[in-house]
Amino acid sequence: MSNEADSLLNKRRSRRQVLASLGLGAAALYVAPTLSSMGQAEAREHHHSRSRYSRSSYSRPRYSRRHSYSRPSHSRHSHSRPHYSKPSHSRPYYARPQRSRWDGDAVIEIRISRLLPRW
Amino acid sequence: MSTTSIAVDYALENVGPCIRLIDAEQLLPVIHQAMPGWRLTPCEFQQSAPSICVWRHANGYWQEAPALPGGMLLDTPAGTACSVIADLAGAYLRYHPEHIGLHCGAVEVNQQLFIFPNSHRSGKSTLTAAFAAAGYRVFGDDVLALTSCGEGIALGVAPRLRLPLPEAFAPEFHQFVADHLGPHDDRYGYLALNEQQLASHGVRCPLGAVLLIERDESLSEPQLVRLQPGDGLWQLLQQNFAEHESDQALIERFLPLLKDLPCFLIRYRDAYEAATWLAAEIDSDGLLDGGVGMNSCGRQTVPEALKQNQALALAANDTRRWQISPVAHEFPLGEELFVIAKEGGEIHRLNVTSRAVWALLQHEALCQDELIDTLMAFFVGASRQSVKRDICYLLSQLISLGLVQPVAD
Repeated sequence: MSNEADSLLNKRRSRRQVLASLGLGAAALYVAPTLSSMGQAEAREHHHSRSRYSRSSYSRPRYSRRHSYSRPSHSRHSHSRPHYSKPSHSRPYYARPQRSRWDGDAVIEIRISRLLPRW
Repeated sequence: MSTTSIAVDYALENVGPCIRLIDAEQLLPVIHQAMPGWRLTPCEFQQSAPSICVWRHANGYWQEAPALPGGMLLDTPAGTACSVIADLAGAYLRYHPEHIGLHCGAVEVNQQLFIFPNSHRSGKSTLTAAFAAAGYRVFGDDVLALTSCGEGIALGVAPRLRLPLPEAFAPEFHQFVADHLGPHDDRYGYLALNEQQLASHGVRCPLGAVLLIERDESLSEPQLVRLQPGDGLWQLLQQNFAEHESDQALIERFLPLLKDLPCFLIRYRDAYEAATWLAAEIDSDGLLDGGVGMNSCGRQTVPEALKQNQALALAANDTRRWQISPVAHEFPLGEELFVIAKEGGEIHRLNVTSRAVWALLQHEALCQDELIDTLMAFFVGASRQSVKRDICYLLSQLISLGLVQPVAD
């Protein structure tokens, strides 16, 4: 037998050993190869996610678009928080400002995206 | 003129002060009923407002929380309780970083937990409730805390079902829900379960199996298929709340658990029928001891995978030799291999044949024809044409991800 044929046989033997080292038996049933990437999987599963790193979301109530929602005309950040006064008894009270945080004239719709189902 | 409002702070068991209700005390019994196993008790008024605040609103309730920076209007007490509980669960997991929050349903079967880590709207809650109707204790239908040693910890939150229930559901399940309906509105309802039916907060139980679920209206009876442990790992990597942990850190935490944890796919038409059928299988068949045939083909069929991206395929006459690029981490699990190419990078999952190709290219540089010859000589049951097509496509994927590189002759 030529050196070339020997070399080919050795290569085949060594490749079989590689496969056998994975625990695969010879004449195993062929299964088509697959390769999945977590980035792709996450994009499929979490197209509602708020950020790339959000793996999953807690279940929140679901709303229908037919409802209209309003929130205070003043933004959360510009609006001064209600002042809480320490009561004399154990139950805390606070004085609500003249205009409550939701009594504004303007109606700003909460972005529907925030209300989409997370379940 | 100003009006006076009542603000009361509450401490959550195993978290501490974390929620303030402002003119919203009528919400408290609803929250209590929705999470009967998790104590929420009045506490001393906090100088610094708790992270979760709920105000009474003319149209319902207004809630703010770290996860809702713009606030949220909720129109019913049951809906508000649901939103609040989502944030309470988040607060618990932030307070206990030693645990991983899993997005799953969980029920106790023979002192072990069956978990269903499926995505939203997959039927987790319905199947969880169906197990409750079949007499099994619920650990949760949305969030389960997982310890490092593989125990699930119940939060004490009741399952919540979408209403109305489909008429096609089993009459026994309809009756159970009617008999146990707790706080609800016209869209969702919590089940009012007792301590035997719902594990209280902090109760632990070891994981027994991962159960992936798939509803199929065409089935006459449930079907159960044993999956690769990699299927369970893949699902857990996606269905968790550990937003600040890297995939590598997570895979290192999940891997030891998944090595010995059986993973199944259950396909069913009716959740109650599936729960009772599965319970009988467990009792009669030694399900957890390997009584079900393994599906070695994985869940994604090849034709579908190929159809997704035929354009990527390497030219059939390409004669270049390829070798595996240096990668940061390899995690074998069962027959499969999980690979992270670089630190902090994404995870790639290789099934048994892709793993074989990976090992061959790690061993020596090969061209696609040498790969095909080797696989054809080792495996049976496929034509050269189909193996060639598969290998062309796999190599193209590996190349595009930078996982293999050509070798200069």
